[in-house]
Formats: sequence, structure tokens, C-alpha cells
Amino acid sequence: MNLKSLTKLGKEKVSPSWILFKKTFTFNLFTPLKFLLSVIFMILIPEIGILILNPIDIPLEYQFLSLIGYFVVIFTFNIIFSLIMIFSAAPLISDEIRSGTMLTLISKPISRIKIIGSKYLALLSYGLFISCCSLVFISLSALFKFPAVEVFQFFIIHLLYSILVLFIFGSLTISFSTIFKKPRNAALIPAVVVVFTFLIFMSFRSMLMWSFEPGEMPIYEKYQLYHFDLGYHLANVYYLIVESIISIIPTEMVFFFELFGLYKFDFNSLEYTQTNYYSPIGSLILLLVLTVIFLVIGIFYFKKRDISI
Amino acid sequence: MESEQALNFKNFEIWTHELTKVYGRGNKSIKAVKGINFVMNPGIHGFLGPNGAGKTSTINMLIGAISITKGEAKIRGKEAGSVEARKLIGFLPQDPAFYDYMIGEDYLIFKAQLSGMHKNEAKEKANELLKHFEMDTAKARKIGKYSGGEKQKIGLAASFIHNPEILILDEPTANLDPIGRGNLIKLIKELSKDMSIFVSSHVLSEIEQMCDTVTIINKGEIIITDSIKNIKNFYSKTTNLHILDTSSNEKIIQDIEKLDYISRVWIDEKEKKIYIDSEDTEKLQEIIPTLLVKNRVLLKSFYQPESSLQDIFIELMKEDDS
Repeated sequence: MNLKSLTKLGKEKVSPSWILFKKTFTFNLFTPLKFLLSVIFMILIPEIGILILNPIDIPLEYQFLSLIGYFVVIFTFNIIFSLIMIFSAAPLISDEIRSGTMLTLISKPISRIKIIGSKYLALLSYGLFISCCSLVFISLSALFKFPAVEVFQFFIIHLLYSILVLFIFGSLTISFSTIFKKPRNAALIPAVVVVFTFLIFMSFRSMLMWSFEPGEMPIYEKYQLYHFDLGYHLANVYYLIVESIISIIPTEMVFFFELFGLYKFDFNSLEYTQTNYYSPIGSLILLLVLTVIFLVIGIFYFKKRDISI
Repeated sequence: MESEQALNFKNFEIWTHELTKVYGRGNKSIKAVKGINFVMNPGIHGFLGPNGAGKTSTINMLIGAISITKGEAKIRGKEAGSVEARKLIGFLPQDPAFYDYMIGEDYLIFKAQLSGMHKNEAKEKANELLKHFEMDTAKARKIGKYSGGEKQKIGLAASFIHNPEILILDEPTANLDPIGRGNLIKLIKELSKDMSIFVSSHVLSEIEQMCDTVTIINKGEIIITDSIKNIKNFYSKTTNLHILDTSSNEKIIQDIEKLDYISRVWIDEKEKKIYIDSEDTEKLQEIIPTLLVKNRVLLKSFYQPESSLQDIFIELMKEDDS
């Protein structure tokens, strides 16, 4: 065996970023079992809703969007999809550092920004893929049961919303993944944010928006909690997407938006009024700025940190 | 116009100037590497030092894994840690870690492609290397199921699959059995025909077998950096040890013990020869013939031994500690 012949093979170039992207997508994110379980969890509640609902209960197309969209936003994307993204993103950097594989990876001619960028893009692609698959499944089964329903709008609205959720939790978690050595530590804070925002705080938000005595300012407004309320801002952007796609906000969706603080019930006029704490565009900009900040922190920290076993 | 210094470092495979690494800040900071200067010419360069001497920290700075606190390091004139410098190197860490879920062949292809090699060529080369390392049967197995020796082989293959100009090996023999060590030394020698090799170790006999030049580091500082030949020549001249073998060693040793310039004398249990540590070499060499005649014994041999790298290393460490 002549080693010289082995060491003198060709030099045709491929992009290391692309190779790392492919490896991350194929080996770290997309495994058949993980993919299957993710999609099953994401479609579970909306599919139960579709099964239970009687076609006679859906006389108008927007009622489907209001009823099933309610489950899709809260359950599928805010909770399940966010958690899937968090637990997929958490090991991407931290596990490589902890196990020592990062040491050989960074000795290769690929910059640290490209390492984190390739992994982040693989995460986004995977997220988009499972989001599309889940929405296609939900849309097709809805079309099968309610032929009059406009599923394309439903699909587009929720796909756009899922991209936003993907950006936010993907960036937040990958940023933590560069800081912590253990994936579980990297996932902890983002997972707590999801549980707090979409399970705990959602139960209290309406209460915090009530005025218990006439003239009293609700706690939510008094302390301007909406500034820090991720659920509110996400729902505000969802509002923007729905408005952009179907031009009007269906009246059936007002109750849904009330849960997130976009509307409140006025006991004097006995009507729902819009809170307008932030304009929908304002919420979108705020979330995008936060996403970029998380990413920049992650990139900066990863660029500077010492990698050793 | 390039400065003289810039031209200087371009002539070397590795060049460092006041290279320093400090971990932590304030009172708790640890200075692991204390402003070291050394150069590496083409060939095999050994990087010797006891555990905790700063070998791995130096190597990690060279590959860009950890930041350089002060000073600089260049690899063929390129800033150590830069993408350009990393294009030139191959690296095997002290305890290589692997993607256990990957099969051996895919791992090698992945590593080659990360260095810019086309998939078909990477596959061809991966298979040739697996064959060379007698791992044909293991190539389709997941790395998680490999033995320690197999992991070491796949790690080594991955470090040079892309044909680097300089191969950096951090304690490559640490996890190998004696046969594995022997094979690895042979391989490193063979590879050195095509690339320069920078190898760190605390196993001196191996470094002695493999390397042309050596840098010895202790407590973050360079003790010596030169060719092994020069180091040995220098220390052999300065040694006070003599070995004497006669027809009756037990008889003559009694007279040697009585000489006042002898610090230590003993008969080696294995070789049955007399080892004499003398404070005055000339006087000892003059008196030996007289003692031979007086005791009526025949001389078999009388010489100053060439110091092994291990002897020199131990002596240097002692000097450094004192």
C-alpha cells in the first residue's frame, strides 16, 4: 500500500458549509422516528378537532379557520412545534462541544460563523419541513371532511406563522446552545419560556386584564406587561398574517385573540374592543429584532469561546 | 514591502513568537503557556513535556480551538487558527471524539468533504484508507461499536484523508497497545515523506524513534528546542557517567569506591557492569589503568554512554525544577 498515492488524490472543491448543513439535517435532525413522532404530536389535537366537528357546525369557511386555527396556533405551533424546535436546536452546538467532536470540526477550514450558520439553516429547513408536512396533513383531512372549506388560505396563514415561531425559538435555543455545554441546560430556559407563556400565563392573562372595580386600571395595563408578553406579540403577528391573507378578521376569531390580550371585553358596552398596545407591525419588528439579537449573541459567544475537552 | 519578520515566519512550517495562553481572569487565572518561541522545519517535530506542561494548550492555539492571549503563531506564514491556516493542517486530538451514530466510511467521507474534497474522491480515498488500516469489515459498522484501537485508526485516517501539508498529532499513541504504537510510528514515518508532522508526546522513546527535531516544554516554558542529534551530542559531553566492565567487577569496585571524587558507583543488576558517577572525569580516566593493573583484572570495556532522550529529559526537568 503506497500512502503517497493516497495523499495525492484530486482537489475538486465542495463547500464545507453545505456538507455540514447536510450532515446536521440528515444525522442530527431528520431521523424517521423523530420526524414521525413530531408530526403525530403536531397534528394530534387539530385532527381530533376535525374528527369531532360535524360538517353542519361549519357553515362558513372562516369558522373552520377560527375553530381549527385556534388549536393549530395554540397547541401545534405555540407549544408542540416550539418544544420540538427547542429540543432539536439545543444539542446542535452544545453536544458537539461536550463530546469533543467540535474540536476536530473547528480544525477544518470552515469559520465558526459558518458552522453556526449551517446548523441554524439546517434547523430552519427541518422546522419548515415538519411544519409543511403537518399542515398538509391537517389541510387534506379537513378538505376530505369539509369540502367547502378554503384550506389554501388556512395552509398559508399557519405556514407563515410557523416560520416566525421557528425563527424565534430556533435563534433563542441555538444561542443558548453555544453558551451551555449540556443540551438540557441549553433547552431549559427556552422550554420554561414556552411553558410559562403558553400554558401558565395564558390562564392568567384574561384575569390580569379585568378591572375588578370601576375606574381601576387592569394590572396588565398598569404594569404594561404586554411589553414582555411573548404570547401577545405572537398573536399580534398572527393577526397581521390573517388580515393580510383574508383581508378581514373574522368575528369568530375575536374570542381567540382575547385570550392573547389583543381584545378585551368592555362590560359597559358589552362588546369586545381592540387593545392596540402595539401595532401588529410593531410586534413583528420587535420579534424579528429579538431573533436577530439572540443570533448575534450566539454567534459572538461561539466565535470567542475556547473549545477544549 | 514585507518586513523581515514576515519573511522569517514564512520559511517555517510552524512559527511562534511569545505565544501565551492564560485561562481565567484575576487571581484565579492560570498561565498555561508562558510566551514560548519555537519554529518547526519540514520533517517530524516532537513536542515533549510532562503532563500539564502546556502541550495541548499550545496545539489548541495552533489549530484555532482556543484564543491566543498574547503573542502570535503562524502556520506556513498564515495566522494560526485562520481558515487559510486550517486549510494546511490535519489534526488528531489527544482523545478523539466521534459521531457514534455514523458508520466509519461515512465519517471519513464527511471529514474529507469538510476539507473541500469532492464526494467521489472522498469515497475512493476513504475506502483505500480503510483497506490500509485493515478495517474493510468495520467500515459499515457504526463508530459507536468500534474498539479503542479501531477508533484510533479511524481518527488518524480522518486527520490526513484530505492530504494536509502539516499534520498535528496530540499524543497519538496514548490509547494504543505496544503493537499499535509500533505500527503508528511506522505510519508516521511513512506519512512524513509527504507532509510535515508535529507530534506531541510524553513517551520519549517514541519521539526519539520518530522525530528529527524536538521542542521540550515544562510548566508552560520552552526548555530546549533543537535537533535530537544536537541535543544528544551536547548532553553526552556534559555527562559524568562512565561504564566499566572487567573480568572481576566485584574486586575493582572496592578500590573505585575509595576515590574521593566519585559521587556514586554501583553494579547494574541486569548488565553486571560498573556504573561510575564521577565529579572529575579526567582523573577517573587516568586512574582506571592503574587500578586494573593493581587488581590484576582484564578490561572488557570502559566508555561514556550516549545519553538517551529520556536521560536528557529527566535531567532537564530536574534542572528546571531546581
